[in-house]
Amino acid sequence: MLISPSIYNAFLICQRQAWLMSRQMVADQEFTYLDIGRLISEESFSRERKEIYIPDLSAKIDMITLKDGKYFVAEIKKSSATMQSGIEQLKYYMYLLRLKGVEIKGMIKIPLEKKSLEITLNSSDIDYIEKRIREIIEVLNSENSPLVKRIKYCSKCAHYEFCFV
Amino acid sequence: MKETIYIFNSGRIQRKDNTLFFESEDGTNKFLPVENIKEIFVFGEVDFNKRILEFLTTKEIIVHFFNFYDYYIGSFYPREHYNSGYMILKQALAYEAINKRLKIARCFVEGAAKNSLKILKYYNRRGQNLSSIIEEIESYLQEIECQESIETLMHVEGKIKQSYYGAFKNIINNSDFTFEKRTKKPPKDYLNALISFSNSLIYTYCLSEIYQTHLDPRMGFLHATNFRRFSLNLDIAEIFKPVIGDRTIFAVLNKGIIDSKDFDNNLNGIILKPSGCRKFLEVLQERLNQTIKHSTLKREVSYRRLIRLECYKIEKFLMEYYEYKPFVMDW
Repeated sequence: MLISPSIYNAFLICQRQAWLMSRQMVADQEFTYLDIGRLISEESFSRERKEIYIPDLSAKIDMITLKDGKYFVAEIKKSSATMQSGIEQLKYYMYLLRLKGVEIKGMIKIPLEKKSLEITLNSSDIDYIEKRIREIIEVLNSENSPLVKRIKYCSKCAHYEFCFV
Repeated sequence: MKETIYIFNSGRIQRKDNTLFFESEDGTNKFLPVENIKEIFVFGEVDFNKRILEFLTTKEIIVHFFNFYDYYIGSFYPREHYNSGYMILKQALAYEAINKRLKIARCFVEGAAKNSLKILKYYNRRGQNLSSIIEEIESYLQEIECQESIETLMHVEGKIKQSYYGAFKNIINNSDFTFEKRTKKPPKDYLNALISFSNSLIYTYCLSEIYQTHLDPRMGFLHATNFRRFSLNLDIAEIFKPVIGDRTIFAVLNKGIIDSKDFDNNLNGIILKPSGCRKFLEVLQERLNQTIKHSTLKREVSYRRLIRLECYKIEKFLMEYYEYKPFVMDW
């Protein structure tokens, strides 16, 4: 069972969200935070190739960028606040690409703060990711959705009304 | 917040570049910014072409059509964009499991009755003598719980409605707007015409909200499913007819916004003139935009949004251990 990056990322934040996504219970698209995210990635780096879709991994990569003659897979973020989850996301992309035989470095870009950060994938990262995947599969295979657990992220989540009404 | 567009003029709607353009027969043209449209209501004679339908589909805009007599014709319901096989399956299973179906169907009747009571009690406190009708409905309310079939439940619902409509003549202070009983297709008097119009609008708002969720509008629980037309929106509308529709009816009549001059008598019974239709929709839209503090969400939500929240509650009832309780007004 291949875990798509979007579900992998959601799981890092909230198991319930990942479970809902796995059943196509996507959130209300009228939600402005989603729009902000979309706009940032649409408006920044318009010169480079962006949003590369890899169908068999159902992965949408923000962009591939060239720096000092080397290619990087890059993830665009709104702010440093979500840096940690951004790094984990990126490492998962790199892991998936590695499975396909593509060894590539990663880069986090925060256009609003004019920052970028290089990321590498080492063997302990790989062990960690594989442990994570086993966890995710176990949760997703459960017939029941994980219970609502209030976290800081809830108030900004598109599922907020669904969970708390 | 996205807007609802109401089109009363006749003309042609077309796609201009990446937005909508309405060319009216009276020569006024208007751009309709597509990113900001939730849904379109069409009352006038409007020409559409396939390109427009295609465009509306990509923008996920639903269109509701009404005929010359303000009757609901149907909706352009773009292909489902929130498809979840899981949810459809849960919905169908709940329909099949008679206990689960009855449980939720009772909630719709209960929600309708409790909201109707809130309105009656409000007017009772203001000196209208409605105590006997209130007591009647309260006793019917006790019967809901023990109905073991949809048919008998519908029967109780019918009794509640009859008592409730019987109170309208006390609430409305305009003698042109009294009625003996509910008549439909065609409505036989002004008030019936207005109620029919109001209800059909609530049905369509509910349909629009269902469209934004993973529920299938074709599978209702109280209103029998016939797998051809929409019925879940009729279920949800039961809760909101008193809350949104009826309160608007009382407002427009008691404030004299609409009177007998806004109606026409013709072969098809009584119909609301375009002027009356517009005035009603203005007040109704105000009501939909009005917000209340939601007790569990701790947020301000509009009456319109309450319909969406009801859909979410139904989804949760269908998929997890969540006890569905219909929305009931506070006062």
